[in-house]
Formats: sequence, C-alpha cells, structure tokens
Amino acid sequence: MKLRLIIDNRFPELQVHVCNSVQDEETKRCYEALKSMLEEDIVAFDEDDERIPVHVSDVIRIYAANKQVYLSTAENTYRLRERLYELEEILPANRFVRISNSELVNIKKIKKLDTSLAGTIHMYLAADIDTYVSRRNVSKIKKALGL
Amino acid sequence: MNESTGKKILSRFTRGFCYALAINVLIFFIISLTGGGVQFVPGYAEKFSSREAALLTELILIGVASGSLSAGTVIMELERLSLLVQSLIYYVICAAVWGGVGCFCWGMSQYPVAFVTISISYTASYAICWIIQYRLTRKNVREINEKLASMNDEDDDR
Repeated sequence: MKLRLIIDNRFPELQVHVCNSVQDEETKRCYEALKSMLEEDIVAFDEDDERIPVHVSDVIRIYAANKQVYLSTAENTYRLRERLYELEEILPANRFVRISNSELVNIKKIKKLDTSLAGTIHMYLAADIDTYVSRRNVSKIKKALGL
Repeated sequence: MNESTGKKILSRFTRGFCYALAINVLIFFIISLTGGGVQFVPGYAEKFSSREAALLTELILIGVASGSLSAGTVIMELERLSLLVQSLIYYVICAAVWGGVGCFCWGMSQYPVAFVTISISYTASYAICWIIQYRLTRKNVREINEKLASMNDEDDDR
C-alpha cells in the first residue's frame, strides 16, 4: 500500500482519497478506518455541565430517560442536549440503529440478542450494558446489519 | 398514557368505527338489493320499537366493537410490555368486546354450543397467530446473532 501526502493549493480543504483498481477487503477496511477516524465528535456534558467531546466510535448507546437524553460509553454516561430524533439524523446511519422509541445503539457494540419465553427481546451490549429491543425495530436492526 | 398515545387511540377508534360502519352498510345494502331483507336473531328486534332502530343499533355496536379492536392495537406498541402480555391484554379486549356484541345482537348466549365453538375457534386461531409471531421473533433474533457473531469474528481476525 502506498501512502502519499500532497500539499497543493489546488485543494482548498483537507481531502483523503482511498484508491484501488478493485474494492477488496483491504480497501474497504482502510476506507472504513479513515471514515471512522474523520467522524466528528459528539458534544456531551458531564454532571458538572462541562463539555466532553465523545468520539462516535466510543458511544455504546444513546437513550432517553426522565425527559433527558444520555450517552453511554464504556467508562461513563453523559448528558446530551439534542433530542433523540435529531441525533438519529446526525449520526451515521451505518453505525447507529434505533432499537426502541427511547434508544439508539452503536451497531459495533452489540454483543448478542436473546428472546425470553414471554417474547421480550433482550440486547447485550459492550461494557456489560443490557437493554430491551422493541419488536417493531427488529427489522431495522436486520437492515442495518445487511440482512 | 401520554398525549400521542391518546391521539393514536382516538384516531384508530374513529377509523375502525367508520370502516366497519361503511362495510356493514354496504353489506346490508347489497342484501336489501337482492331482496333478502335484513334478518335478526329471535328476540333481538323485539328489544326495539322498530326494525330500523334495531338495525341502527346493530350497526353502531359493530362500529364500536371494530373501533375498540382497532384502538386496542396500541397495546401491541407498548414497548415496556412483553409480547405475551400485549397479546393477552388484546385477547381479553377482543373477547370482551365481540362477546358482548355477539351476545346482545346475535344471541350468542342463547346458543351455548355456538358460543363454545366460536370461543374455542377464536382462541385457537389467536394462539396460532401468537405462536407464529413468537417463532418469527426467535428466527429474526437467531439470524441477527449469527450475523453479529460473523462480524465479531471478522473484527478478531483483523
């Protein structure tokens, strides 16, 4: 793989191109890694109302509770000022999926799903977080996973 | 119950009521065109001063029952309830509403065999629908887990 740095005034803004003659696994991986790296941080707030930038790839889930929206990472839970539907529009659709009226999860952080005898769908996420999936969102999860 | 759930219930009830009313008026109209005339079970029409009043009441009750069933579908969207609880509540609503209308308008309570047969077939078909829904959910979850496992394997390989 060749890596080049071009500094030229033909480029008014930073551009990153991944080029190859075929779209193989390595190209895809490289593109995804760069894309993830260039994704903007989400501005969250801790309990002292201090701004905390959280990288999209660190987010496990974003959920609404008690009329507030929260974001969970492996280390902490922060408060967000945006509403859930606004975040759903902003966040990359290939990375986040809505699992219920009050929750979005990072697809990469889903460990597994489980069904109880009563028909409740349980979702296990990274950092030992578990939550519930509403049945009508199962098709959205399948679609997000390319099924 | 929040405002949007209340609106949903009202809107679904209204639509269910109107559709049922329109369909039944059409059916009665077709029956009257064929010269058959609307028939009532013995004892029902006698409760009213005229056959028109009996027919109107039956139409309204069918509309109310259909509207209730339609509004009841909101239960299936309450995420904090499991599929089993949702289905049981909806089953009870359906059975109570149609049982009530059936007994009042079609004299179901006067015909125990018919009442039992209808109740059993309704319960059986409802149970079959529930099992299909449950198995479908399990199948979807299995497919998702398989995909997640393959994705995790790919990540491990990198």
